Amino acid sequence: MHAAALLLALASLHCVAAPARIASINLCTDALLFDLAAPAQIASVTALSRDPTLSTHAARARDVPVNHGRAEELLTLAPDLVLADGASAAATVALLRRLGLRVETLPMATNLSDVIALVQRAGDLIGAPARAAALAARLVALEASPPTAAPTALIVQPGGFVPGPDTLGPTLLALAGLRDLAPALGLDRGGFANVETLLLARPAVLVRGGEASAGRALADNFLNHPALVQARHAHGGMHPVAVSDAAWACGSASLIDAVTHLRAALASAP
Amino acid sequence: MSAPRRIAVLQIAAIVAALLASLTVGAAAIPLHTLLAAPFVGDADTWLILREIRLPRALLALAIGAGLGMSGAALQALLRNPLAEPGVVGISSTAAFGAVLAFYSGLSYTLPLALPLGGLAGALAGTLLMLRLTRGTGASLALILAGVALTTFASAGTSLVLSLAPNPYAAYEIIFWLMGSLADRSLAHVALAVPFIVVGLALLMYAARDLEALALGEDSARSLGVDVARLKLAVVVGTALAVGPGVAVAGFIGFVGLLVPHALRPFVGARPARLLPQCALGGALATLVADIACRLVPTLGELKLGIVTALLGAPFFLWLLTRERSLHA
Repeated sequence: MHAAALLLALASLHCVAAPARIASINLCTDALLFDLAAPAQIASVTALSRDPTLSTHAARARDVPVNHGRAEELLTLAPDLVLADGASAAATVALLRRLGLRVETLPMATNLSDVIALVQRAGDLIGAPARAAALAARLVALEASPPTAAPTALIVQPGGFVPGPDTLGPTLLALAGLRDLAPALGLDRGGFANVETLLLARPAVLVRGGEASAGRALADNFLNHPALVQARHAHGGMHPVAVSDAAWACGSASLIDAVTHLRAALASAP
Repeated sequence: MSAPRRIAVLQIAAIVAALLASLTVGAAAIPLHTLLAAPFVGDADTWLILREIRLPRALLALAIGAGLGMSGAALQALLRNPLAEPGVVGISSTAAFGAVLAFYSGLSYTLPLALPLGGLAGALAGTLLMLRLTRGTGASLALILAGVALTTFASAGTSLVLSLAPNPYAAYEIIFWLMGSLADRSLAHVALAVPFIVVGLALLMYAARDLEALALGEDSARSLGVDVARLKLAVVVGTALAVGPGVAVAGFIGFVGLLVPHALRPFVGARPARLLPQCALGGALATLVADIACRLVPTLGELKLGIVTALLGAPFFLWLLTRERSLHA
């Protein structure tokens, strides 16, 4: 009798461990959901995930109901689990919990071991530990085989923004076997580069966002400044490599694609 | 040497000194001797930085400042009001709105001239609206209210367009348009803006003598044979040319046109024919010095030029306002 009750309890625990319908209210937890959950489990992701400049899962997100992170939307959905980012939307998370929804928050990843831990935790929450373990193993393998030559590089986003150690940018460069020049430019915490210092530092590789962003912004002019264009023509260097910002914005499987893409681009570079 | 001429010589000397200083100050700390030797020893990087980054920046500061300074003096003479200035009366804001429409619609992508022309059209519309709103009387209250209305509307329009723009970075550029900057401008921007500004300055100079007659009132000016309608048109178009294209490449830079005429009037007198060219020099000098200050203040990114000019100009504007009120009380 006792044994049967225990079995029942265990079974129900298992049910809790594999929620049938999961909603995500953050772009990065969207990515983990797409990476790890069974398609039927995905109840909703954020509308941002449909934007190909922000998400590597834009095509799949078109077939999934989207939310805008508002409490009302989630109440109507009534998912078994809501995934959120730990830092943002604290008010929404608190409100959802008060309304009786199960909300789990996941941290932002800023280095490879963070990403691996994040994937494993997401796997446990989603109820897909085996898939998470396989993905974690692929992430571990990234570190095992870094290229040996270490050309200098800088990630430059529109407007001259250089991402700092609170992002996966430095991790991306290290895993691709590149030496990050951001600290040498005084940008070891991230920030805006300017044309003068960039020209003098002249990194061998410039990693820039791959997606042609919609519409125009003054920010697009930064890397097209005549001084940079002329310097590149005159003495080479600053070889531009396009890697979609979306691919490394979140700790998820797409980081592997970003590293692989960057390595391949460097291998075929002159 | 007469006093005005002495002032002009002093101003030109100061501009030359500031120009040299502005070429030595930048994000990259390049020693002075390296800079001086750069054109001769084939130091390609330093020469590139001088020619393609620091020189365009200095030239733009001089041209934009000259335009703001002279148009400030011209507007003060036309409206016979010491508070008139392209920023205060709303012209710079409408110019920014015009440039923003030309840029973010993608028009200036296919036709680069659309950018300064957008600024020019915005400035022209702003100037005409301002004259309409004040009915040409130049009364302070009407002038300031017209300026507030135009600035509020145009700034809201600028912010709206940038918020609606499909490019996610556009929203961050609101601060550039509302608080101008010369960071990382290039010779292409010089080519787009400076020719317009030069024509605008020439037009305002052409109007300067008739503006003197206007000091006595429109009727007296007419009796002296001045075609007041044509004079107004010259000042309106001259101001739009001197201000609009500059705003289109550097954003809103306020208060230069207010500070400079007031600073120079005690030394060169109030006669427009003398004051206007001096204000062009003074505006150029003030803007160039303010732009050097932007580069010297250690901030993340770079301090916006419009912040420096507003921090200096706004308290002065308030002081003028209180003084004017006590004079009329």
